[in-house]
Amino acid sequence: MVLLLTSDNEMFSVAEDVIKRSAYIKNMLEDVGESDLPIPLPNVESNVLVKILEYCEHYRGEPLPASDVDPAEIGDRSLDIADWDQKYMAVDQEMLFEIILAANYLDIKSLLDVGCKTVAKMMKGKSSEEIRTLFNIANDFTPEEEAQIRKENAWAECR
Amino acid sequence: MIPVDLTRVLSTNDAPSFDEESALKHAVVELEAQLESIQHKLRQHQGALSAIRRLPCEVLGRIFCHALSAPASLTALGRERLRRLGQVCRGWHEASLFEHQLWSSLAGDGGTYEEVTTWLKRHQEKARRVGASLFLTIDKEYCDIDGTANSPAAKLLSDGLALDHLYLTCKRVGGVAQLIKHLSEISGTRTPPSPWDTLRSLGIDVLVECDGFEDAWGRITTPPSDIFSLIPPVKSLTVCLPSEDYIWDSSPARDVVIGIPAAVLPGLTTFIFSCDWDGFHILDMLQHCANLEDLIVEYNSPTVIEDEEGQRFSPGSINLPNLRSLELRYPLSPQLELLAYIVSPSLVTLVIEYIPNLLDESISTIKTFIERSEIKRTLSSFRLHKVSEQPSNFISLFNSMPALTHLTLQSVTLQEDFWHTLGKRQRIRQLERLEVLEVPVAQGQRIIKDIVEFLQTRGRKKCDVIVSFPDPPISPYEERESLIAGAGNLEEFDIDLRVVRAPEARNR
Repeated sequence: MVLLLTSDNEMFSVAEDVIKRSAYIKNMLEDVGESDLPIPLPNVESNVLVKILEYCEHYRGEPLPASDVDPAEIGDRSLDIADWDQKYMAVDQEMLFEIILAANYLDIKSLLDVGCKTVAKMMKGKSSEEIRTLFNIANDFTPEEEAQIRKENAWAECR
Repeated sequence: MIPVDLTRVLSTNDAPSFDEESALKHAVVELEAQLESIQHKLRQHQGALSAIRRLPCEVLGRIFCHALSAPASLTALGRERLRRLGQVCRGWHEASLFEHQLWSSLAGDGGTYEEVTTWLKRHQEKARRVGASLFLTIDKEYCDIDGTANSPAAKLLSDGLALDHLYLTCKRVGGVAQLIKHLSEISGTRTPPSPWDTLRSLGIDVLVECDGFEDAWGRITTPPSDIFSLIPPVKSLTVCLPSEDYIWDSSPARDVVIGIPAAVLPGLTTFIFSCDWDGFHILDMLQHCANLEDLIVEYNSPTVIEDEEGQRFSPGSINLPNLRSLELRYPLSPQLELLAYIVSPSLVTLVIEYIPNLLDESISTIKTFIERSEIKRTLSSFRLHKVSEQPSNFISLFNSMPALTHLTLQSVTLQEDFWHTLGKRQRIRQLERLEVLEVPVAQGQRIIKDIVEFLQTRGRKKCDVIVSFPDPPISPYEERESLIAGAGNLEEFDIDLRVVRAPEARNR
């Protein structure tokens, strides 16, 4: 079992083959070897780690991706998301982004990919303004900057 | 408005007087405005706390790549989407510029030379390397060479930025023939060399052709050799020819010369050829491809290759000494004729896809090919995909592959005693990785047991086994574990068995 300590000081005891889906933890275990000390996760809160572990548990026993193979880098950019993954990602926006951040930090590429695909799907067909509203993003461009970007990308505008 | 004390009416259930009602209405409007302002502030504060602000540039870039299917070439719609993403806020704009993959591959149709160049420059600046991919659809035919020379495509390929890969799509050969003629005329006249001259990879896809018909200027349309005979010396070449049904009414496809120069073919290390023409065009080209390492041939016709007179190429007459990987896709012809003509003594990987029904004859062809190429001891990877009917001599194929370390059978219907017979006859005993994918769920427990029993006949020998099932997916961990648990003693024989979902097996 591996002990994990979240940023809000909660301790989790997790089976090694479950948490090894995280390349970060896997490498750490290989480097440090067996230890009774918990691995601190200062960037992950307990409620997020619970979700992350749910994912790792679900995929327990399935082959770990080769460390040098990233589905996204080998051109897997389809927006297809497996049924279970879709249900798993049916969370509020804040949790969705927290999962993505944690997957990035823990280096769980398949989960990061599912998170990114989920966000990409949410943005599909939306204008810049609609995306701002959807994700509560402030428009911090000055009018001059906005005009400049519009000019630079004039070719991209559907004419 | 005269101030009205509303204490009484707010603390009782009495109906308001006329003045009170008016004051109340005024107060409601004011409170609503305040509420709206507070809600706006609340949203601002929540937005400031949102985790989306903490997403690093590279993660945002990754999201954008998914949203735009990058690095697939960006079409006009893709470019519009990228523009929208970059206009959300400063952070997103920076992230869109940071992710060079978004800018690396472009469908340049409709853009001016300056517009396309500006776009591709962003990739080169961010990736700190030259070479991008450009996909051009040549749908305009110029009536003279000057018109062609002044086209954005010609400028991009003669004076533009260096390109790694160029993919040209045209409806008719004539659409691209003038362009290539122009580019070959200026070849060698540019310093630094033109992007056309330094291409590493070229793809040409001719969708439709009507040879023998008059075009808009009264000319007879051009044969394919007008483009292929002038291509630069690339390392990787993709040629997709139009369906035989659409073309060459005046002459059968068998007699049409493709015309890739013999000087280009020896330089190829990768060749992808897609065609459904009757005739031996592929053999004609392959005889010059001495340095080929990867070959993919896609046939969509049941009658291909065979030389009617049987004079030009005899079986085993084409030697591809460096070929390491050969893929035959969609071969509607179960005879796998190509294998009868080539010899590839360095072949390591053989992939055969989409054969509706393998015949005894097909198996004999593969076996003869292996024997002739003398790769019985070196062929280490074999993949068979989508084969619905299994010939009676299927098992004997594996007698020709004793050195196989990787075997993938995907969507292949296997006879019930397949694994048992393999074990009994002691075939493919060197396997290190076995993938049996898209197995009908009903066969689950049986096939896993059969595979394990087969592997156990080899004694203790390490092997990674992946079995996948299509719908309904075997999802819960426990269910998969029970399949594995029922499979027998794995550890003793060093068998690492995984049961996964299809079609995710190859990615996870």
